Amino acid sequence: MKTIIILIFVALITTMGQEFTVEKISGTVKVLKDSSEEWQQVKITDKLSIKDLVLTENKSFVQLSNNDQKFLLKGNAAIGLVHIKQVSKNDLVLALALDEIRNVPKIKRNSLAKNTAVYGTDNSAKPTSKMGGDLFGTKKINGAKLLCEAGYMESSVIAAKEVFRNYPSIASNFNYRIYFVNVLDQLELYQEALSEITRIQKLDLTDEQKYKVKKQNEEISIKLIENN
Amino acid sequence: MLSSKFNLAQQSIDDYGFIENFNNINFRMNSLESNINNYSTVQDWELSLAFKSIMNGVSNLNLNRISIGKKLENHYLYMRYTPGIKQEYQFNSRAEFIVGDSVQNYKTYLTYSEKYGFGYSHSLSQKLTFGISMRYFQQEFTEEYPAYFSNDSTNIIQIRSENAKKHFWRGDFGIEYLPYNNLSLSLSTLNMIILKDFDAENEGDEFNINTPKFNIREKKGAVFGLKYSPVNTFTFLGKYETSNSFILGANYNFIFDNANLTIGSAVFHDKNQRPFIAAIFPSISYSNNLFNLTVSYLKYLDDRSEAKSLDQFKNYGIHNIQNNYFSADRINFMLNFALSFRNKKQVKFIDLQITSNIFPIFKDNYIDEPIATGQIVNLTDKVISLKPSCSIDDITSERIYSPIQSIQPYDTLLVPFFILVGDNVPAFEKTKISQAKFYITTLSEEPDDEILKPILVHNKNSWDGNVINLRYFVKSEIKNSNRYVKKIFESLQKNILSLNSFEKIKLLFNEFVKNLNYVSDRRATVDFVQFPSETIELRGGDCDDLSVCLSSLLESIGIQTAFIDYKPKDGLGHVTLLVNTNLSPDEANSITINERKFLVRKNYTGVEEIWIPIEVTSLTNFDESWNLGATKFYSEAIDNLGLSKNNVEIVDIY
Repeated sequence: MKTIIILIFVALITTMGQEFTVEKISGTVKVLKDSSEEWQQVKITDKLSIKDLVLTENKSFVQLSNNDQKFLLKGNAAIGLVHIKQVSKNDLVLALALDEIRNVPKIKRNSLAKNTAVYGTDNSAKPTSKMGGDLFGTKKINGAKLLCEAGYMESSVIAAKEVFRNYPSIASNFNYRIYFVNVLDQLELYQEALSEITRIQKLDLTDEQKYKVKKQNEEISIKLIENN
Repeated sequence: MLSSKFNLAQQSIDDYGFIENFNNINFRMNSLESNINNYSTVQDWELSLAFKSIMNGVSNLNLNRISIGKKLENHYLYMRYTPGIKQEYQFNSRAEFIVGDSVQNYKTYLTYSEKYGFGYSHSLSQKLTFGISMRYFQQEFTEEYPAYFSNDSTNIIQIRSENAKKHFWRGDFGIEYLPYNNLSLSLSTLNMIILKDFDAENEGDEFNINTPKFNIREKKGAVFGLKYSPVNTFTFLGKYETSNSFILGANYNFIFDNANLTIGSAVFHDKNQRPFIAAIFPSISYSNNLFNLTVSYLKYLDDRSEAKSLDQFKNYGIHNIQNNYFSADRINFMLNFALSFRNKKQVKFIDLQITSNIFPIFKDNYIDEPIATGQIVNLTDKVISLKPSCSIDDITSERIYSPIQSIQPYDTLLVPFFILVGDNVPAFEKTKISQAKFYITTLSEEPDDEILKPILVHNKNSWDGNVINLRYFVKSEIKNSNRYVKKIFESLQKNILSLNSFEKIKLLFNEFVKNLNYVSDRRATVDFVQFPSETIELRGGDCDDLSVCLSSLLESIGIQTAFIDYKPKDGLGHVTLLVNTNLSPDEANSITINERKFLVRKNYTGVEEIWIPIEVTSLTNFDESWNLGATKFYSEAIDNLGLSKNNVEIVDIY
């Protein structure tokens, strides 16, 4: 019996950890459930899963609660609820390593080359866009910044990296990129911050931006040396 | 009665002296007297001739022995004919009679000979050998005696003779152990088996030739042997017989290119001979690749020229035909010929480990991955280039050569052995054990050393559980898959050139699942994978089979795939597919608004592309399979950091 009670308790805690409740809402707030392809309006008291993605339009907000945690998603932002959680620095480093792990290894595919001899060059029409990518990307990067402001700094970096990966136009925005370099700097993840700076240096930057990056590079390098 | 003080004589003396060492391995430098267990490092046929010259003041040179030896894998056979192992004694009676002007005696003739011998040894390993030797002896005794006749006028004394011929087989066992390359230990029996057809216990008349006192003594005993080389060129040898006789020797070896010269000497103590050190036995030996010449000189340290009486003879007896109280000094000449030429072994195996059993489907894998690693030692003081090679019954009849390796003097090296599994290898229905032969070769085509090891050859559907190796099943039938896909698109009347990759994936998957009607439990069989054609024919399979089949179909039309390997947590893992849509991240929202349904991956040129996870075991439709695949992938691989923590792995097919 004791075991059953403990199991039920653990199950409840787990369930609670997996769900958010909509406490307050203003304006237009939508949710994209799990693998759904359809946005739904969010209403007060709705239960949302961590697999869901929540979006706010301009001049809207939603307050979510999960156990004792509360999170306010301000206007013109979007966030995957899975990111609203404290993440350890170790897990952040692991998540950053995903960037390399997920890529196709640099092995030339000799044996299974594309079979263009049979089907010719793929000259098919490209699919049409289902919604404006940059707009949604901006909402997501805003959501990542809100995470940081709410104290979920590690999680905000993970969310931002996801945006940079999926939205090339956002990834080329100097200000967004440098914002999260500073977050890594504050987290004292200097090596990771320098790696990010290296990637930023490959962007098409203005002279002023180049100077800023260079200066930041020097400052973080010094910190890295001092910490070693 | 025989006195118990007369034990065995020193038996371990043969005509080579003590000239053996660990370098001169191409020739047998001993015979059955000092090598009862017949151990030899001779590598093939060998013919040996031995001559002796007895130092008795008369010029003589006789063929002592002719022998032939043959190595057959781990067996060694030896046979010898020994016309020279023969000792004749003549004793005159004290009674004399006068015939004409001369005084004559009655004579007793004793002849001992060893006619032939056989040896067989078997090497159980490189360190342990046992063997047996059988030798055939003959002894013939003739005794003259007077026969008196008388008639009325005359007394006649006639010399008559009585003859006794006896023969017997002597068999002995031995074992030799080489715990190190420079140390050999041996143990052999003496007179263990005696097969005869005469009664040795019949005492007979004290002065009759039938007395057993004339017989070769047959007392049982044992010999312990040791051979040790503290340095490569110096060898120390010793043998101890349970009669408290012993022989000690040492030799020094001068090593040249393809030849060597050995100089050595031995001394021995024989319980039945005087003085304490009964003789010295220096010898010199020269060997090259073709022949060996050995000369030895046996010098007894007491005076052997004095005549011995019949009574003395009866007391001492004959224990050993060639070496006994009555033997004289002699010089021996031995000439050994290698009847088939073999180079001196320059390298040899210390150990060999099979690192991979054979999965016929992984044939391309064996080009890069060795099936075994051998530890090889260089036996010379030169840098040696060695060619490793191997063959496996049922896989290849020819030896497959691995890259040439260089090995430093007296150094050891780990050498990989590779195999080629050709397309014509039969597809075994059942896993079987085959024999793998591993060779190392230096100068000629003849291997310096070889090892035989059993290796498991799996059946055609076998898989080692490593997801990366599923790619071989994908690649194996890519042409068949291409034909199958063509048929599908033709039946749909679709112009494939007008479709983008995502549309092709979707259409193909929906048609693929239509033709399937079952899916077994998740990874139901971890060691068996169906080929794509088998999955299509059987209309189902488990996750491995379905992932392989779908991957093969997509790859056959140029769509990249990767396996998603969900590593086992509860004992069973799961495999599903990640498929490249060839869309850029900017184009992702053309197929979905949900970021949790795709993964952005850089290809090997650095271009980012959209890949989608598909749950192949969901045999409903593409959208459902994609949703299921994405939910699982994001939950386990991304949210729970499965990719970073190696709980989930993306295994690209290349």
